[in-house]
Amino acid sequence: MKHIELLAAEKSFDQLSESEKAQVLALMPAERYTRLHELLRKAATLDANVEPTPELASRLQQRMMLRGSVLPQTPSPRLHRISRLRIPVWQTAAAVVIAFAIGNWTKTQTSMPPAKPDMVVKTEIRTDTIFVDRIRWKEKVVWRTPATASPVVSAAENFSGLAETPAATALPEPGSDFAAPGAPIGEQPELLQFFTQPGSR
Amino acid sequence: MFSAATDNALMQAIGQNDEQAFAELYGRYGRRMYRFFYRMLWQDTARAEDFTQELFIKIIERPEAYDASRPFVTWLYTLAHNLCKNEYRRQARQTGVLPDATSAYQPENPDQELLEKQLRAAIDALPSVHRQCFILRYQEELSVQAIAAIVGCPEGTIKSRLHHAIQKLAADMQHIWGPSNTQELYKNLVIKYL
Repeated sequence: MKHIELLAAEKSFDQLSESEKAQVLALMPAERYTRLHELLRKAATLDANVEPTPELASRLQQRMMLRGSVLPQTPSPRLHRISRLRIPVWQTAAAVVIAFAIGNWTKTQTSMPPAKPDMVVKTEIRTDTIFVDRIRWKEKVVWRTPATASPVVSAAENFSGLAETPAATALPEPGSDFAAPGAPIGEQPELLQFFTQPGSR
Repeated sequence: MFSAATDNALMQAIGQNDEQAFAELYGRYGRRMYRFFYRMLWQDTARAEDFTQELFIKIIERPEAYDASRPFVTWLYTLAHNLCKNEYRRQARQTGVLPDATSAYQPENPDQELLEKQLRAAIDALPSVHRQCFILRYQEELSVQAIAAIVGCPEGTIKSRLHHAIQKLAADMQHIWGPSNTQELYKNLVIKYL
């Protein structure tokens, strides 16, 4: 039994044999079959007349000729025979193993003790890579508290005078001989300016 | 000289730089492959010619790529189909949409013109996978088995795609043939007999 779609693609309803007609009519009216036939036949013949230009054939033929001219020549018979030689895999593997073993054996036979290198004294001049472009001066003002002078008293005087002058160990009054000369820098603006004013050096 | 030779013999001869063998092969398939590209690539004659050239250059450059255990026609259509797929991808990447058909062919009979125009438009409007199968089956007249080998899908998938293609075409052609339940007709046909 042929498929209906194959029948419809090939034959119109009128071209069907009696048995085929009966087969088709059991499924659908003749009109429907005709439409299917028309659709498939029309699709098959659609654009059937389009053809490539003759130049395409000549271009391809030229390409074919070019291929023939640039193909490498066949190798000489001797090389060809060698290149076509077939060697079993086990033979190749055995050859590789033997070559490796011979190589190792030769290496152990010819190996010499390593020569002691002579001492060579080399003088190197190392250039410092750090360069100072310019010296930057930093000025810093330090505030110092004036040292307070304490009287130097001997132990004997200290102990002897304890009873007589109970205030001997007391700090001397400002203006006395023990007072430190000078004044803090903070109290003298000229001195302070001298250190802090830029360009004064 | 090669007129009676099989396709396989021609391919072997091309491998040995036989120009006559190539001329014979082109004579057999050149027009057919051009038509295939024309149908697949939106009725663009220039593009169809470029792709036909590319296809045959592949044959010239690497005839040894042909696997003689496969039917030559199937192999040839597989190459052509792959070229079309690449072109679809390229077009989709460039423009995001596939181009419209630019038909240069005009039928001589004005009565046929409308039907052909509608049918061509309906075929072009099919999804690309359905269109490929329809063209290969009903325009290139290849078997479902050969199409399955070309497209690289099971035969069941090809039948299913053909079913959808005919259904869609029938629906699109209704206004030409009249709304006499055409879609139902093709649906029943395809389900039962494809």
